[in-house]
Amino acid sequence: MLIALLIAGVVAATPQAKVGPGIWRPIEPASESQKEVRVEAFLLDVVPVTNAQFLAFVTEHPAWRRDRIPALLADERYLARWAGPTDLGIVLPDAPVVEVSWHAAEAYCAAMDRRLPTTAEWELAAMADETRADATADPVYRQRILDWYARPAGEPLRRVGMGPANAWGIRDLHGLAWEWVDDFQSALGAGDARNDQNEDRLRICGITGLAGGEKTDYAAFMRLALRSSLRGRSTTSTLGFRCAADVDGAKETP
Amino acid sequence: MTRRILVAGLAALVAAAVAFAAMRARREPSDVAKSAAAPTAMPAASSASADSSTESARAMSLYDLELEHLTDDAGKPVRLDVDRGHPVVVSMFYASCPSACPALMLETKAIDSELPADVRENVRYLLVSFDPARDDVAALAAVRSRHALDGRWTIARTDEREVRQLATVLGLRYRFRDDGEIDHSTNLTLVRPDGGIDVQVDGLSKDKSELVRRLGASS
Repeated sequence: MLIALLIAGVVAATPQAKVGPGIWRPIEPASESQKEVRVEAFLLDVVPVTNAQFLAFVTEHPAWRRDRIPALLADERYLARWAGPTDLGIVLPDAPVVEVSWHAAEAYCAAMDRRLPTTAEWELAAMADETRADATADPVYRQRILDWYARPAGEPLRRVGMGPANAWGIRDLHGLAWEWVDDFQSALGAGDARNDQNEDRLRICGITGLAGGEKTDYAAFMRLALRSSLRGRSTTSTLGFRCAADVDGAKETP
Repeated sequence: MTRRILVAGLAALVAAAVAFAAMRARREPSDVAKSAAAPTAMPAASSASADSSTESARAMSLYDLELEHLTDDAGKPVRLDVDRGHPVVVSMFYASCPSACPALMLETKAIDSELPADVRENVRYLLVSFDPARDDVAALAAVRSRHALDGRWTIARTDEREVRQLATVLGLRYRFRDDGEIDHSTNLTLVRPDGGIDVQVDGLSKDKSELVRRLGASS
């Protein structure tokens, strides 16, 4: 209990910054009229959630410790790099927490009176570079992200907040870890399977498979591929998260 | 035609993604599945069938998910494990769905009619709406009467957050369209009497024999 209070005392909630409103062009639009999605203004954590913050969370909510979480809600790699259920070991406290399932990320944000960002919100924030809200047409911006995707994994993750702030004041959306979004389940997967003969593929009602967005934005395609491959209990050594909030009713940064 | 091009494009991208993943993983070869996350994991996960690892699937209990706002078609609060002790077929739908949901309902009833009498008497069905905004108690009750569902069927709704949590543990994919329809996958999940997730089948596939067989074994 004392330890929990001590940890809670030193780990503050992540500051947030306002993002949007803006227009996001999904690669896999749900319908013809959803090729351009208006995203209302929202608040987003300026950096990803860290190991220290997540440790405070599992200390306060022991049901989410790796030795207590049910298999339904996280796979066997959940927080596996920590030395113990409430011991970071040599993992950097200020590095982004990874190896967390969607369920755990969702519960963390709810405990902070926040929520996970939607795909549209996350992608809108990620369209910015240091000076422009929408840098996606710039080959330099695209190449920078792809260069990161191409870097070998396995090196320990660095501290959060070392990346440059984008035009919204948000850091580390690219270049540090992949991030969960609330509605990753809306990534239906490659192509439209309804008329496919392959019984293993998704069966979906409604009309999908529209080509939308920017065909040459490979980084966005890769994020879509990632989301469509995940289950709620999935964890990976490069997948973390940050929280969002509605503009009204949430504590904005001073 | 457009679809073909899209699929081909995506296939190329998937190949590129896997190549990226391999590069990212080269210092840690055993780590391919979890590095660069996704691309490598894609073929297994995108099939939307039960987890390929049946070992871990066996340890999973649906009843480890706690839903606090589930109510039935009489407006009565109901627990996710309302039918604990029985094999339960679980899926999700929405009442205004024009095509896949009625088909899913018919297919599920077809399965039910194929079961031997003793199995049939023991099995339960739990259908939860994707659509809390429109599927109120009256809409749920209308589904029950339209499809003449008996007391073994629980038709339920909950809030938006819990819809997402339940869909996620069931591995269902869904998204809202601005024309009011919901794109969604149609898996049926068979839950054992203790909550263990047994098997998932495509609710619209023609072959239900596996589910029927497992239901018999589960009872």
